[in-house]
Amino acid sequence: MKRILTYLGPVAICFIGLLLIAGCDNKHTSANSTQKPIQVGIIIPIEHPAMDEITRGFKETLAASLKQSVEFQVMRTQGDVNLQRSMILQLQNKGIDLYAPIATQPTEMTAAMIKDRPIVGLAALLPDSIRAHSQLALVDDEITPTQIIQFIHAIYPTKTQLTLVYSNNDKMIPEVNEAVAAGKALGIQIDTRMVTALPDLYSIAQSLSPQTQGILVLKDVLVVSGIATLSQVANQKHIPLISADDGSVQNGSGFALGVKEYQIGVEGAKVALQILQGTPAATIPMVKMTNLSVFINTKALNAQGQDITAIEKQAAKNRYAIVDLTTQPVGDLK
Amino acid sequence: MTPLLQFENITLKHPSLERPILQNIHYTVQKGDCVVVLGANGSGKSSLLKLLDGRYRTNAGKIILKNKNILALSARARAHCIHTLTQNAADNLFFNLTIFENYQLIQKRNKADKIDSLGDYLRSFNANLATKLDVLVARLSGGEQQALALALAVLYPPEILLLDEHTSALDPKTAEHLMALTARIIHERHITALLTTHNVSHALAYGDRILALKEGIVHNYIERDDKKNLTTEMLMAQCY
Amino acid sequence: MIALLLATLTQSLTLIPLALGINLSYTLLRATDMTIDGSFVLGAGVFAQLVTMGISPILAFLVALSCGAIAGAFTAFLQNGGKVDPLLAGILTSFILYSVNMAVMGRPNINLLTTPTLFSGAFAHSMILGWFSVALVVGLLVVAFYTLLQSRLGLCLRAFGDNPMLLSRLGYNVTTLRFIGFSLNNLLAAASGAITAQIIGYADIGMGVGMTLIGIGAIVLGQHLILPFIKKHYLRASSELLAAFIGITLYFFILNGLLRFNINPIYLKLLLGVLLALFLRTATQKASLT
Repeated sequence: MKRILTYLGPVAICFIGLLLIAGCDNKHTSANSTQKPIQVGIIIPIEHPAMDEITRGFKETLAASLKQSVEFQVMRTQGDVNLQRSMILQLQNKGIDLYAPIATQPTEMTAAMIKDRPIVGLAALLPDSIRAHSQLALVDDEITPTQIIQFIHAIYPTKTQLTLVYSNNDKMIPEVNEAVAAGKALGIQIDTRMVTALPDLYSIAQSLSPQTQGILVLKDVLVVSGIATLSQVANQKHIPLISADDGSVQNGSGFALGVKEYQIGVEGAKVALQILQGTPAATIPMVKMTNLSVFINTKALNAQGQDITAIEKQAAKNRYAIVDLTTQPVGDLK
Repeated sequence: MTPLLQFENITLKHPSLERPILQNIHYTVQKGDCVVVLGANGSGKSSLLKLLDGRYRTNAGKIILKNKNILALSARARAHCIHTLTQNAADNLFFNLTIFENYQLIQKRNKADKIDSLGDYLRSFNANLATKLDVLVARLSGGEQQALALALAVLYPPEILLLDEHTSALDPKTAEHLMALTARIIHERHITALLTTHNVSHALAYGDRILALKEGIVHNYIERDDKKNLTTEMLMAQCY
Repeated sequence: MIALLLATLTQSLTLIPLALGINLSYTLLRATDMTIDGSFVLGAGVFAQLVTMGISPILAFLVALSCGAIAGAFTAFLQNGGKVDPLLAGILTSFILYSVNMAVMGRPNINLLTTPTLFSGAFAHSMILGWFSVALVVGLLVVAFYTLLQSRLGLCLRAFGDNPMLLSRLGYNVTTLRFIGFSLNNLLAAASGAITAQIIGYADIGMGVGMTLIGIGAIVLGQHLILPFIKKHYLRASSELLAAFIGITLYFFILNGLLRFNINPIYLKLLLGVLLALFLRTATQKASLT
């Protein structure tokens, strides 16, 4: 008997604890049911300042524009598929009114699991055929690679050789293809290098073609995490490192044409507001980001031996706002 | 009559050792012999047995089993002819299976008829075993384990049974029992056996013939008729 | 509370075949087979790719299972001759499978939200019917696995894990048994992968990370709770099956329970890891006593 107790004791305690918690949890929600604030569930797949920026933009805008009170349940899944599934189920049990998953993969899972509540996929890209079958609205955070290539060509009309470093993330492959095609149209040959894991980035950076006149990175979480590695190579070769998001510019890329992450959250909140006011989610067209910015890092540009005036000139011509991130601390943007 | 087993000038070397483990061993075993191999630690007696069950290969010389070079036998054919029991019961049995499952695995491989009652069969080896058919081998005592290993080894008698100090991990009383049981079984069933031991009195009492090894070389051949004139002390002095 | 139980049950249901596969490698073959991290994705990827190409879900499912089996056979092949130990062979195959999975899928993520799958019809009808059909497929795999455990082959596989040297000396073909064991175990993992992809709506290149550990943790947890009470050895196969069920259910119960504590997920893996370590420790202590 004693032996049985030693085995079962800790487990029993765990169980009883969990039962109590589960019980309290239920009571808690039922007590609040008279007031009924709108419940919004946000799913953050990885720990990244960009994710926090999107979340902040979404929360602040939605809270300010809604008449009713709103409660946000933020779930951080740490890149774990099982955890993500548990968290979505948990949100479902809490009776969430609107889901806001960030990035494509969490949006897919939410759409597969949640059929009876609207979903606003932030920074997510899914075909329309899928949207038609669920209450899914999307905010696409991507500016097209063509826009970036054209902008680069305008700044550096003489460059004919660029290297594009990308990761094997699902959304990258069509974008890379588009970038290569856009380059070809402008007479720029784009070498592509795929990274499957962050540790590979160093060796890939060391083995770039000697003829390359610039390194290009799209909005690519994995490669951006290792942007410092590419920045070193760019400094050695005195070639520009060009990216497509603000975080990478803070961490050593020369300049980027992109959108402010905060703004993605703002656009998402506008869509959420429309849905909460009664517009069916599937009828809302996919939101494309139009307010583009040019992020620059003068220190990095100097180290890469690049002149800033051409960039400023082209930004002004295209009416892109210039955001100087040289002295901005990482992850503190509005 | 052709002998069952012949060692023809066997030499076994290990790359890291200067002295060969076995050198120029020449010996013949007839069917039904119970040969005891005696020798100090490192004299090469276990290696001699390992040459037979395929764990080692000779560097020079041949081992002939029933007119065939032993190297020409497939692993399966060799397994059919030769069965080894070592001092470590975990080598001889499947520890995490029951007695009955151990029996099933051996019975199937030999494609022989099932015996009527495993319990009755085991009773003649060790009375306790018969009542524990559904018990894991790991739960048996050391003596029971080795008795079971012996029982299963001779269930479908092999051409040659190799016993590599199979009693040495047991307490003296249990070892004595097991040795007597082993001797009875191999004589009753006319099994050819090669056994190694450090117990000189066992060698005299149970062995038909004795092969004394010293540093990899045959030190003395003792045949059936010579045994009568030997005492334990004399044999001890010769081998160690 | 019911919500917690439902969440737990639906999550563990899809991973039961995986748990059985790990039971096969970890308990019967006594090898930690890390191939599972890769073959789980392979199963999901092959299934997703084939149904997207318009092949019938049943055929796609069967092909996915076979691909898992082939991956397992490759791990077994690496171990031939005793040059590479099982753990390393599994890690190596899993490493290779990353490229294979990419090649099979063509992209890192295949969406199944609107593609007909084994269960899409049933789920469109009602949630209950949907889960019932999942349970049916899992049930079939369980029955097949149980039959295997009880069979002569099951006994041989168990003997292989216990003492491969002796098995080989008895004249059994150990290489073949290793092939069969590792193939079956990865077939089950691939089945879990394919089922999971259908439930969560996509196959993703990264979905297999840590699956082996979850499985082993669940098995150890389950066996730790069940086996002390099982004295009769003819009940062994059923108790192992039960241990796999209970283990995987308990794992997700604890996971979902901890989430309800509002524990920061950053510490979740730490907590689960410590819990598993404790169970593993007590399990080995018990083993060394007997």
